[in-house]
Amino acid sequence: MKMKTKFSGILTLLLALVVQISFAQEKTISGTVTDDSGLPLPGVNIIVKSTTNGTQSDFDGNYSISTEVGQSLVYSYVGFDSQVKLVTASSSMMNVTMAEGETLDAVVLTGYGGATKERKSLGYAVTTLQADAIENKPESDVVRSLNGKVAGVQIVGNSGATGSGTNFVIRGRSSINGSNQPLFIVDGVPFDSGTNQQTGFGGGNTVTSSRFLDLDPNNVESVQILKGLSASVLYGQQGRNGVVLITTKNGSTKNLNKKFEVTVNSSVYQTQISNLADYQNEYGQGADNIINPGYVGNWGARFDSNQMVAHPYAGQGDLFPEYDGLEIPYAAAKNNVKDFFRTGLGQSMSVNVAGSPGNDGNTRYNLNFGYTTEDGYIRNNGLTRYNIGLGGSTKLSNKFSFNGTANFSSTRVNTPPIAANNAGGALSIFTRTLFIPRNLDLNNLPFENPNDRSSVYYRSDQENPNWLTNYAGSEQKTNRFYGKLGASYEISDNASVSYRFGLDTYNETQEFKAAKGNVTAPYTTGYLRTTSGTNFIYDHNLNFSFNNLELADDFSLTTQLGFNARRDTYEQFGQSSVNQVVFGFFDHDNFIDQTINDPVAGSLSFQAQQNILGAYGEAAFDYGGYLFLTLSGRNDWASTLEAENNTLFYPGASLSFVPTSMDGGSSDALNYLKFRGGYGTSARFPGVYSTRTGFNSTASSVLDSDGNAVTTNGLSSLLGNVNLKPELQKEFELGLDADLFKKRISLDATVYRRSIQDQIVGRPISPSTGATFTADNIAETQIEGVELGLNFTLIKSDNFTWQMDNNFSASENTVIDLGGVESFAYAGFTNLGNYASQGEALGVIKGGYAARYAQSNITDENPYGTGVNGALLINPGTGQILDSEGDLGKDIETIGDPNADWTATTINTITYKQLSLSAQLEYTHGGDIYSQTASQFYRRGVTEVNVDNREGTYVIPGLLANPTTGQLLLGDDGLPIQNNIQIGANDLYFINLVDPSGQGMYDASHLRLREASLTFSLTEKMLEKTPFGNISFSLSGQNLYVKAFNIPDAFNIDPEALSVGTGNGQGLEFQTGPTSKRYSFGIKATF
Amino acid sequence: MKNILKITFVTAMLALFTGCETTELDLLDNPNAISADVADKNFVLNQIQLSFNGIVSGFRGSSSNITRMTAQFGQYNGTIGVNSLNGTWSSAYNMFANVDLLETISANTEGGLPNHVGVAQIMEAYTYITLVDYVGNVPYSQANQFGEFPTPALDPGEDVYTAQIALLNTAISNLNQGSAVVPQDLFYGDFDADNWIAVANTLKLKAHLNMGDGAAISGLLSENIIDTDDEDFQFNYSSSASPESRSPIFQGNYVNGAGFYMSNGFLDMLNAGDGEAPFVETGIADPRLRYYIYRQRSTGPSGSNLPCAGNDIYDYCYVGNLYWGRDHGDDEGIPNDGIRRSTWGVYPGGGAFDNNQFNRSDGNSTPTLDGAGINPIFLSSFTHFALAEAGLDLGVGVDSRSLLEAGISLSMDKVTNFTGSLDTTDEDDETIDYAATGAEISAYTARVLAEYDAASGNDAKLEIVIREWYLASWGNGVEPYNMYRRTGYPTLQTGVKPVGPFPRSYRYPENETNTNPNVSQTTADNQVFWDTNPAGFIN
Repeated sequence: MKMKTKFSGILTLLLALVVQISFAQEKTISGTVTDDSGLPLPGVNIIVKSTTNGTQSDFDGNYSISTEVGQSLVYSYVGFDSQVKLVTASSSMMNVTMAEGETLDAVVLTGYGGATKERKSLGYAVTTLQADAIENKPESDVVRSLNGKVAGVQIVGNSGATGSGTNFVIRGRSSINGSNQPLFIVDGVPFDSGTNQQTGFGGGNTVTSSRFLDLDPNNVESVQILKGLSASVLYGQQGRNGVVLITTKNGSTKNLNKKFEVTVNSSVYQTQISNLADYQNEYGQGADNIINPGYVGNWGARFDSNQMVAHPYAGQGDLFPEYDGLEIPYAAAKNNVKDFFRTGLGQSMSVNVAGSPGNDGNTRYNLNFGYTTEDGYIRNNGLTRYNIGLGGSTKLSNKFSFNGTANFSSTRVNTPPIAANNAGGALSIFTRTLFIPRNLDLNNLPFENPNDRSSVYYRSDQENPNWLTNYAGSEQKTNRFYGKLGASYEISDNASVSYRFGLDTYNETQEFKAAKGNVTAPYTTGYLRTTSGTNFIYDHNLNFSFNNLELADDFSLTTQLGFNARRDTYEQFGQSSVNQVVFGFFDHDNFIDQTINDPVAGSLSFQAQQNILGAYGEAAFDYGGYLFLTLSGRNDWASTLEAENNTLFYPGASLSFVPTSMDGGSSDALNYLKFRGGYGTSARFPGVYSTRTGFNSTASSVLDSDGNAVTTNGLSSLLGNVNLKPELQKEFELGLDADLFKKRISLDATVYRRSIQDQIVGRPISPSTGATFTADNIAETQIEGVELGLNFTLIKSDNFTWQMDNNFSASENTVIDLGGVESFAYAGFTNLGNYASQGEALGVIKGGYAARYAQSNITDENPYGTGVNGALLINPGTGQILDSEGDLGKDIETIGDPNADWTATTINTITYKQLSLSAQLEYTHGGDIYSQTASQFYRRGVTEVNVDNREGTYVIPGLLANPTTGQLLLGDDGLPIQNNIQIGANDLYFINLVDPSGQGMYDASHLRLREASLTFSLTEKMLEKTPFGNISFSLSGQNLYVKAFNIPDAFNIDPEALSVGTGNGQGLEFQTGPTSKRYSFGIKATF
Repeated sequence: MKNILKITFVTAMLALFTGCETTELDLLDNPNAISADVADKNFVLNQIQLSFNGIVSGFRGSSSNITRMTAQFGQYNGTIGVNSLNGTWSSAYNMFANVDLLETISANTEGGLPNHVGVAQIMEAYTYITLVDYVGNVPYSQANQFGEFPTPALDPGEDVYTAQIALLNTAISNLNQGSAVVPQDLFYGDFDADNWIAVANTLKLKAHLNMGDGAAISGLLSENIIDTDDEDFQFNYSSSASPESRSPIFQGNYVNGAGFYMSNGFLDMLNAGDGEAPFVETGIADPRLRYYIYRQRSTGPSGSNLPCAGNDIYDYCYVGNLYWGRDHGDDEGIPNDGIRRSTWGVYPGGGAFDNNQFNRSDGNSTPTLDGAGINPIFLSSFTHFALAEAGLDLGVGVDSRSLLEAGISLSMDKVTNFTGSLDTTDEDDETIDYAATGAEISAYTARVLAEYDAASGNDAKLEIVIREWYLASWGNGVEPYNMYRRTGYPTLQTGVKPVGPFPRSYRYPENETNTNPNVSQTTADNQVFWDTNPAGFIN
């Protein structure tokens, strides 16, 4: 509402600027403007053609205007085709029905500070998604519903577990240590989208929720994504990775069709594990074709050998007399993995009430209630969320307007422990669950010791996964308030001032627990860690705007000037306990030892605060309605840098040229054409407290041998850098928008290049200086990319339409310089992780590899020509491959690049009468992943991939080499010797072939059916006798099919699951939760 | 108008309410850390002491593998890679920074803090000496000065040694000042400067022995050195799990079962096995055996638990007597035997005493000292063996035979007195006591001395001295690595599979070579300055 009135107000003001005296015969015309369904349209602009005389329709669509015979009235309204009516002598009552038009060129976007902009005036790429792309999906995380829908936007969930965190990246990653996640603006004010991970990836951070989970997808009216810097300059340094503008129904400014409208969304859905491997059922536990009921590997005898085998608990007769020494038939438990998981049910319900009291349409309100509950595919994994919100706005007769929103959400997520691991060493239900022995009937075995309820399993080095689902896990409870208050005052017809205060605060309680009786240090004696974190964002904004200042004929200027102050605080308290007293009771009172210095997460209590002040200005020039120039700039002052370095000014400029808006510029073939170019800059200020060296104090580091606490004070290994400066990011983009053939084809293309010089990184420094890291402006990175949107309306008839929306994006990032540091790891492990490496793509994965020989590898330092590429080197003693690290002692090398080459999406929607069928298909080309799951499938022999020739032998193709140096062995003829040593399947897969990290790298090109839905809407005729305005039913499925072309089919691995949590890591999979597959049925009704 | 006033008032209040706090830009001091000016002298020294102990432990693990005190898995390159010293190295230089800080605090304190500084300097000297022992040339003169030298250059190992001997002398003169301000002593309990002076002198002995400087050692004979058990330089762990204060050996082997394999060669040297060939010496078990090694199982390994069975490349495969270990270089897959294989005993990690109960080493299954063990950094027995070596090898005027005898005796006493409250008798038949008897120890000593007497020539005698030192240094990784390179003794098992050349030094840590162009990586055949033995001298 606010948006519309403002827009029309601007036009009205424009008209009022120039006084024109009329001498002709005056006549007053009145009437009603309605849409094609007969509903009144308020706020329609009605202008006497070629004059500045105009008015607007009121809330009931009524208008009245003075004109004269022979003139024409132009009726225009955003989203509708304009109409022109001639005034004749007989005219007095003119009722107009306006038809909904193509909205593309007229879409109004939210600019900074609530100002509105016409799409054609923008010199940069913006994508808008409406509610229907988000609501009633089988997904509680609003961001994941956006997946694949927008070119250049990459959204990757950390796992398929319900409530797990999500990575959201626009235009690729270019920051090494800084955040690459965009700024969330909800109803005009900043919204924290952080993921408060308490531990590293070994401690289970992937299940930590990202805080946009607090938004109810059914309360979202629209999402706009600003991708580039020229779009986001005014948003300040937090907007450097793009801005996600979310308008909720409570913050809506859309015109209401009715004075009072109720909308109900309701859906039920189910969640399943998406892709289990194709398990083999021919061989069971053991090695070298001999059964061994203690082994993880499945290299034992054939099941059809009709043997008997010791029961998995045969050796635990003291606990289970019934199994004591028991022999059972050696047979496959075919569904032992599948049955561990369940089908989870979810339901969501949302009620929205919108209204506009009075007759002037100047006041509106909205109330919203949402409830979502979802069970994941893992037992004891689920989410419950309540959302309550209200919003409203009013425009007073004294030139004041007010608006405000207030939202409360309460979210609870619980999950059994899931952590990245390499089949041992971390508390996780996925430690070995996906490759348990084929003959282990997991779900029919007891999982706890009848005496002390500790975990029992067939091996002593791992917990029974069923024990973990019952007695360990994490829980997060978040109560959040966010909202805003805004006031504006019209100083004069074309000047206004507004002030807005935004508040976003939440308290997040996280709990991680494990009952006593597990076997993973430090949790063995029972463990409970609770933390309570409180986050605040206070945002003040004062904005002056001057609209449509006419500088000359056809040349106008709109400016805004403002000040922004944002304060962020986070404060956390925590406690961790070990030594549980009563089994399974999780209260710190029930534990013997407490500390705030957690053995896994470190210090649990800390605080951080930062303030950023900004002053910004923007001048937008409009020449003739077809040429637009926008100049903008912002200066920030940040509290995280020393006074002499704490400020940075960053400007931006964009140009938009729309030839089709010139007289005679458009035709039936070419409806709309826009060339655009933008240059934008932004800043990044470092995180808190990196300029001064900290001094650690630990009250009780250890107890000495007399039991006294030993307090320590020591220098941090992180060296402060008083000279640290903000970094400046620059981006240049060029683009083209076009609509062709009556808008049956529309195109949207952008190329961009972003570079960051003096990038702030956690620079590893020589440990012999006494410290190991310092924040420093040493790196330079660059990212270049292309984004393409190409939409076709293939068929359009009264009853049948086929709409095909396609998008494509490709980008390439490079680390140009690292200030003399060759490379450093920033995610994953140091011997298998993502690296910033000079001259390579950002995030390349470095690790050990199977040593190979190639002539081209030979250098002075590498006389034997060993390297990542070439022919495999084979140990002449064993016939096995040589590991670059363990055998040859070589440094790690680049073994993969996780950045995809390109991605493409096609969304096809076919509508026949009331039925609409839509499918979203995505393809990702390239991008390597390290898959620990794939390595383990090979190693453990559980899938159909290596079920053949178990009794036979293998020869690894390669060249024999010295097993310590890698030097090729030469035969009598002086030539390299081909390996012909035969080894068994067990030696091939279990002992050797997948040991080096490089052997677990795969090209992750894959095809995915992300979403398919079928919607049926009842016709008006059907609803005539009911109170309903609209009713629609939808069936929808998500993540229905995935095929990764270069990973063995039987593994069924979805390359999208990420193990290193929310952050900058990518392409690393260490057996976290596989992705999920979802189906839903939903109803939406308005009345 | 009334409305306007109201509105202006409300807006102004709101802006003021949060305004000032929001515009503050001086938020640079970390509220989660203390500032350097309030750092406490005792607490800084505590940090240095804990770091130091961690550094010594960090040197231990991998060097125990390559010196075959614990099993070496696969090739040496797999055990000692470019990442092996990352943590130890960083924490060493961070400790030096804290020593510098403590010296600053001392300079700003009236009367100074000579005791604190002296202790810290000794730890700095030990650490630098050991860094040289492990990698050769190390940053020293340019280290710990980031502003001036962001990429410190290497100093020749010999210069660093010389500087550390000088530093030890400075430490001694500091400790001799007799200041009444005393630190918390995590090594000796109640602080006594004499203990630390003994450490300083003994470290000089250790350095001179490596350098082969007999004259300098002769000069130390009259000084206060670690020659009695109450002067043993050791860190004392406690049994507290929260905060974690237990011996790392205990943590790695007694929480979730055994984490390491024992070395069959070492077990054989302890005469643990069944007396069969190949390397058996006397067939009579070392009196320390039940203190050193704990057996979890009353049955021997077989089948899937003994992947080496029947493979004739192995020297031992299984030594017998329920001692489950591994041969040198064995890289077969690892069975589920963490609760079966033999593991560390009560000494020095505070584990279990082997009284034939054969319990699992996972938590509460067997009585232990709960990790309240020690880190044996330099014991009085070592001093005796070192002097015996100097007598034989460097012509220092000492009685090597009696030093050998005293060394064995000190080691036996140390180890056999380590059971604390643990029951050494058989649970079923309490008349059977598995504790070592005086007679067994005497017999052992007599056998060694007889062997010594029978050995012809200093070199043959040296081999016996070094072997006994090696056996006494269980739980210490530094001395065996040094003595093996220095003397070529003891004679150790060769790899049953290719293990590569023996690392004559460690690789530089990758986190230093990546950031410091002045440090170029070396290979395993790089010899430290005092290692003048020929290439391929040991394997």
